[in-house]
Amino acid sequence: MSEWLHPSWLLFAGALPLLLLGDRLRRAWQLLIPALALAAVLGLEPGTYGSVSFLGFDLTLMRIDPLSLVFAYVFATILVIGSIYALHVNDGVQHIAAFTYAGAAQGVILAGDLITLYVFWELMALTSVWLIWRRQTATAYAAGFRYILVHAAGGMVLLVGILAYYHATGSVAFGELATHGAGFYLILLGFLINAAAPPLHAWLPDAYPEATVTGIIFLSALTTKTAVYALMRGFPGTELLVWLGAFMTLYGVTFAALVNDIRRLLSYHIVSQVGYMVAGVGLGTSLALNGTAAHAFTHILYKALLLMGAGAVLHMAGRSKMSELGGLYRTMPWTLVLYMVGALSISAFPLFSGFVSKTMIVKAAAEDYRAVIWLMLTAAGVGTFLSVGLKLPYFTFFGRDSGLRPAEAPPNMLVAMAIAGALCLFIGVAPAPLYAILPYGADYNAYTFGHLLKEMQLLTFTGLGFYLLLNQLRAKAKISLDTDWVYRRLAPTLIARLSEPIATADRAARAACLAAPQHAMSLIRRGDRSGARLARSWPVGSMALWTAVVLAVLILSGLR
Amino acid sequence: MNRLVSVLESLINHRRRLGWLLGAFMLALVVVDLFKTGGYKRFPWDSIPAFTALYAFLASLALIGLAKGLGYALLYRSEDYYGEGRDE
Repeated sequence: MSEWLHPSWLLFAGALPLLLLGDRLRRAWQLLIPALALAAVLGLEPGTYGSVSFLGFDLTLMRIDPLSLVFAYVFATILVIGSIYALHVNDGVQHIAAFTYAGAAQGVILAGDLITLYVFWELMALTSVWLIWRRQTATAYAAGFRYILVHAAGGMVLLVGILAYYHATGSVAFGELATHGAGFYLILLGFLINAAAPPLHAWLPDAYPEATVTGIIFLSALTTKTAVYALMRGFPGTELLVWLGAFMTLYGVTFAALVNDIRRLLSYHIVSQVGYMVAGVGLGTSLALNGTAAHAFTHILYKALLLMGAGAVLHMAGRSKMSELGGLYRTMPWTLVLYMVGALSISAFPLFSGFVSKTMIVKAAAEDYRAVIWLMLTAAGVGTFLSVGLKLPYFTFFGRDSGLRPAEAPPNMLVAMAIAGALCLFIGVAPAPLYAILPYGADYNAYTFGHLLKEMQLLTFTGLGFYLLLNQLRAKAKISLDTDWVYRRLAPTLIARLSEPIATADRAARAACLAAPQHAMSLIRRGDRSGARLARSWPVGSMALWTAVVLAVLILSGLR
Repeated sequence: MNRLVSVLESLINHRRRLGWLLGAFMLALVVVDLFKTGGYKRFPWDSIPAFTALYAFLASLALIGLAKGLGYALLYRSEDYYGEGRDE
């Protein structure tokens, strides 16, 4: 046995005792296991481990290189932060779900072949759905079911793609895909469903806001970012992804502007931010791919921080709709300040983490002379600051006083938010350590005079637009439709409408088909009456004759 | 009262003055751009001074207009459209 420990095994083994431990021990355990997992990940050395042959496939359980390490580091970090944030939750099922989900995500990141990746991929869906169901509302239960159905379909597409790929190439090793056949496109489609690419994205803004206050932190960090990793590994430089990613950035910010629920608004901004990463994968230059990895890293931290802030509001005020919130700065000032660190980070404010990562992707588009893409990505940056940096905090923490006076979030939540906030600031002020772990040797300086001037113009003049249209931006007590309408409304309506005509047609068709045999039956019955042809008795002699004839035919044909 | 809250309150009370300061800062950002030399020459608009400021302002109006247009024309529904509304 070589000396290596797969971080997933540690998390799976560490998950089980959570159900048995008493509350105090459970808390200690919940801090210990993520800390050990982080230590295990930090101790990983590049190489391949756990190569086994299974049913004739060459599997590699652990392939560690700079690309997988960036993701493994940030996944392990967010498990520590999310566990601190969830420390007060006395629900073993949720914590087990979080640990196994995080373990499965590490398994995907470290998998060296498509089959291992697929197994962990499915495990992610099966474990993560409990973070939605444990909200224990009817809405969450239904949303969780839709979530698992979409992921089951996506997993199936991925599996068929892997089989087709194996059929075409004879290999299941996971690297840049070596064919452009059906396998290529099916695997791409499977990855894109988890990356929440429109029109296959609706599972995310549908289900995430229904998850538990603490569960959404893990959900936002892991599923879409494993998809980004898988796209980086398998599909760098795929032209389609440039346009799809840029479209995603704008789709997310546009739909976010319609939403009333603060956690749904932030969920749409996951779609938007993942769009930058998908576009970066599509651009495929080393600057773009480094930007994608860096942005995944910073995004996981600031999005967790934003959702922790929104979750703190939901936890303390018991509601998450902007139309019912307002004036919370009076009693939840620390939540506000920490939320704003995340908001300035996602908005790419200088000195905050998004600035040092998002500008890499935008610059990569510029270096590729892609004018339209550059305009789209820049406009999405405007929309991000508008919703996450201005609208959400304004209508939640300031604006009209809702009269709500919830207490400040519990200490463990604030500590988790403070750690995430400190990391966002640290990366923004001193990006060198982040750049040092990027997979393709980064030589990039975000803090040029030109970048700073452009970014400050962008942010301040977006603020001007916000100020002028403030009344238009007031959240409405409405929901807005998205493509999940197809399976939540259109399909059930169609089935309800069509079931009656289908049943009628079915009855008619069966009657028509049965008419002929029924007619024949009635003829036979008529012949069966006594004295009729079929009821007549036959002499035994003629039977013997016919038997002899049959035997003769059999013998003759047997002789030939 | 919490010290952090009083800091936030004083910011709110001085919002008019802060607004003017921000306006002056924005003006400075544009003026500096007018006299800035060099910079990128990748896109046709790179030679337009303060293009990003103008673009961001127009994009913010366009995005709000697009979203609201989509909302009113197509997407807004009542909260119990899917039969689940509020389940507190």
